[in-house]
Amino acid sequence: MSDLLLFLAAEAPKYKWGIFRDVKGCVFGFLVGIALFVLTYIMIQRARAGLKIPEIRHIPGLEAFEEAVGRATEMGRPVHITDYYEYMGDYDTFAFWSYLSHVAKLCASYDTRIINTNSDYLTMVVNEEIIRQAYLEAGRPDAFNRDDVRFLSDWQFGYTMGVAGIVAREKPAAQFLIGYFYAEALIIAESGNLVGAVQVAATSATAQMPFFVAACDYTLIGEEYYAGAALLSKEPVIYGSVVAEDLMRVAFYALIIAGAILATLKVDALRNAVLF
Amino acid sequence: MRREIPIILTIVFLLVRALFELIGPLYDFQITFPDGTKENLFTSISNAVVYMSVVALFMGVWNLTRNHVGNIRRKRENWPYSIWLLVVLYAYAIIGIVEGMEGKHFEWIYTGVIVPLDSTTFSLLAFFIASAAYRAFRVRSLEAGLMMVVAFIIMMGNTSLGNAIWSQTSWLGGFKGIRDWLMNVPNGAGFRAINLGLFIGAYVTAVRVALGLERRYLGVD
Amino acid sequence: MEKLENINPRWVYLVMAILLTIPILKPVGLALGMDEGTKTVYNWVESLKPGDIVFGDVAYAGGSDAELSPQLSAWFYHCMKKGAKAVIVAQWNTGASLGYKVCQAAAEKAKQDGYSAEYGTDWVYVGYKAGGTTTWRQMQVDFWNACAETDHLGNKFSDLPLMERVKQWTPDMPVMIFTAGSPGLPTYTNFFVGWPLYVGNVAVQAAEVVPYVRSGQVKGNLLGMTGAAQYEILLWGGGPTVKKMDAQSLGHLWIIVLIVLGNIGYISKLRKKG
Repeated sequence: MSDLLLFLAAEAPKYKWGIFRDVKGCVFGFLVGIALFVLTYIMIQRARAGLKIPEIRHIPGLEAFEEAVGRATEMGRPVHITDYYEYMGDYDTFAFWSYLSHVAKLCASYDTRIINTNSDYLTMVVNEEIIRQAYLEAGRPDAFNRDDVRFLSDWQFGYTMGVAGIVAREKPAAQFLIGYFYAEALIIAESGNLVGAVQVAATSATAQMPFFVAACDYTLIGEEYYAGAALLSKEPVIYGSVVAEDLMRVAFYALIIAGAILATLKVDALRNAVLF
Repeated sequence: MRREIPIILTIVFLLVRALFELIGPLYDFQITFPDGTKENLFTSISNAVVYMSVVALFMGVWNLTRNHVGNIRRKRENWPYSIWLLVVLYAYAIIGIVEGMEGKHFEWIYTGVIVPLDSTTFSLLAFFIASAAYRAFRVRSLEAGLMMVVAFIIMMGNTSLGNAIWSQTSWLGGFKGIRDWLMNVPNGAGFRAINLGLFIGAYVTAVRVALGLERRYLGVD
Repeated sequence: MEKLENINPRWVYLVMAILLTIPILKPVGLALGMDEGTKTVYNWVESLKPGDIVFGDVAYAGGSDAELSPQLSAWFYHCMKKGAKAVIVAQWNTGASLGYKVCQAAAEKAKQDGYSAEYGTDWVYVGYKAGGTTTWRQMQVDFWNACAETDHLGNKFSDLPLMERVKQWTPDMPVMIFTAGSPGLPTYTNFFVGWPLYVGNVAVQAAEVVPYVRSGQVKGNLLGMTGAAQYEILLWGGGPTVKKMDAQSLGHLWIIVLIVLGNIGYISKLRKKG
C-alpha cells in the first residue's frame, strides 16, 4: 500500500486531473459512465420502492420462447439452445444466461429435454449449473441430463458442424440462437430450418441480423437482446434498468444532435469535451 | 455463502478491470517480486487470466471425453464416430505436444485436413444464403419490396458482372456508386443507431452485474 | 407457376455448385471496378518509409482462406516491397499457421523479385498468444512479456533484431487486421484507441465495418475477395484472385434469379387464391 501511495505522489503530473490516463475520452467516458450508473441506480430504486416509473416498450418475440417450448413439448422433441463463442465475462454472455435460465425453467416445468451446445468451456460449466438449478427448482433433479450440456469445439467451424450434426440427429422442435454469432449463424439456422424447428434468434451481432431475419421465425435485434434478457425475469427492479436504458438513449441522441449543430457552426467545445 | 462469494468476486473484478483502464497510476503501477524483478500489476492480472483460460481447456476436453466415452459404453446411435473423435482429439494433441506447432505431421494434418474442412464449412454459406434468400425475399409489402431492390443493387455493386452491366465510370457511378451511397448513408446511419443501443444495453447489463442484481449466472432469479 | 415458390433446396444447391465451379475452371475475365477502401489501404502502404514498423493481425482461419489469404499475401508483399518492417500477430489460434505460410510464401516471392524480406530483420511472425483481448491489451504495455518473448516458431525475441524495436506496441505502429469474426476488429476499436487501424474483412462484414470507416476510426478496408482482387490489380496489374471474381458474379446472379422465381410463384399463388 505504501508503495502505491509513493507512486501516486511521484507520478501524478503526467495524468489528466492528476489521476486519469492520458488517452482520448478517458475523463469524459468516466463521467458519462458514472452518470449512467447513477441513473440506472435511481430507476432501480424507484422501481423497488414502488414509485412510478415510465412505461416500457413491448418487445415482440419474447412470447415466442414459451410458444416454441410448448410446441416441442407437444411434439415430444427436444429444445436446443446455443450461444456461439463468448468469453466468460462478456456482457453478451451475462444476457445469454438470462435467456438460458428462462428456457431451462420452461423445459424443466414442461418436462421437455433441453440440449445446450457450447464452444467455450468456461461458459459451459456455468450453463450446466443454470440448467441443473432449473430442474432442481422444478422439483425434477433426476430429469437433468448432464450429457445434454455439451462442449463441441472452440474452433468456429468444428463447433458449427457439431451443432449442425446434433440438430440433424436430434431434430429439435425448437431452436434458440441467443448471443453473438458470426459466419456459423446462417449454417445453424438453416440446419434448424431443414428439420422444421421453430427458431428464435436474439443477437447483438449486427452483421448476422439479416441472416437471422431471413432464416428464423422470430428475431430480437440490437438492444432488444439486452432488454429482453432483463424483461424475462418479470422483476420490477430489472424493469427499472430497462427504463434507464431508454432514457440514456434519448440523452445520447440529444448529445449527437447538439454535436452535429455545434460542429456545423464550427464550435469545438463539445467535441473537445467528449475527447477529453 | 455459495451465492454471495461469486457475486462479490464478480463485482470486485468488474471494478478492478474498469479502474485499470481509467486510472493512470493503477495502469502504470509496478510490483516488485521477492527476487527483485519488477512487473506491471496489469501484466500480472493479465497473466492470471491467461493461465485460468488454459487450465479451463482441460474442462472442455474432459466434457468431450465423458460424453463420447458414454456414447461408446452405451452403444448409442453412431457410437463408432465417438471412437474416431476421441482418437483424433488425443492423437492431434499428442502430435502437437511432441512435435510443436511447425512439426511435419502436425502441419500436414493442419494444411491437409483442417484448412480444407474449414473452407468447406464456410463455403456452405453460399448455398444456405441462396436457399434462405429464396425463402425469405417475397414482395409481401412495400418494405419487403424495397429491401429486395436494395439487395439487388448491393449484389450487383459487389460483382464484376454488375460493373460490366452498369460501369463505375458511367452515370451515378453505376451499381457500385449507388451501392456505396446505400452502404455509407442509410446503412451507416442504421448501424450506428443499433450500435448505440447495443452499447447502452451492454452497459446497463454491466451495471446490473455490478449492483449484484444480475444473478442468473448463478441459476437464480 | 405456383411450384416456383417451393423449389427443392437440393436443386438450389446443385445449380449453385455448378455455377461456382465453371468460371473457376474457365474464367470469363469481366472487368472489375475499384473501391475507395482498397485505394486507401494501397496508398497507405505506398506512403510507408523504409524501416517503418507495421503490424498485421491474422484473425481468421481456413474458412476465410479464399477471401483473406490473398489480401494478406498482397499486403505483406507490398510492405516488403516498400521496405517496411512487418510484425504479424494472430488473434485466432486456428489461423496462426495458415497466416505464417501465407507470409512465408509472400516473403519468398518478394525475395525473388529482389526485395529484402529476411525473417527476423524485415518481418517477424509472432503468431497466436493465448489470453484473448487481455493479452492484446497487455502488448501495449510490455510486448515481450505478453508474448512470452517467443515467436510462432519458438525463436526467442532476443535473437530477432527487429524485436529490439518492438518492446511496446505504440500508436506509431499501425495495424492491418485481417478478420473474419471474433476476436477481430472490436479488440482494436475498444482497446487500441489512437492507433491507425486498417481492416481486411470478409464480404459479409461489409455493412458492419462501414460506420467505423465513415467515422475515421478505421482508415481503410479491403472488402472480401473483391478487395483482394482490386489490391492485386493495383500492385501487380492482375493476379490469381482476379480470375475467381467471375464465380462470385454467377453466384450472385443465381440468388437474384431465385428471388425472382420465388416471387413469380408467390404472386401466381396469390392470384389463384384471388
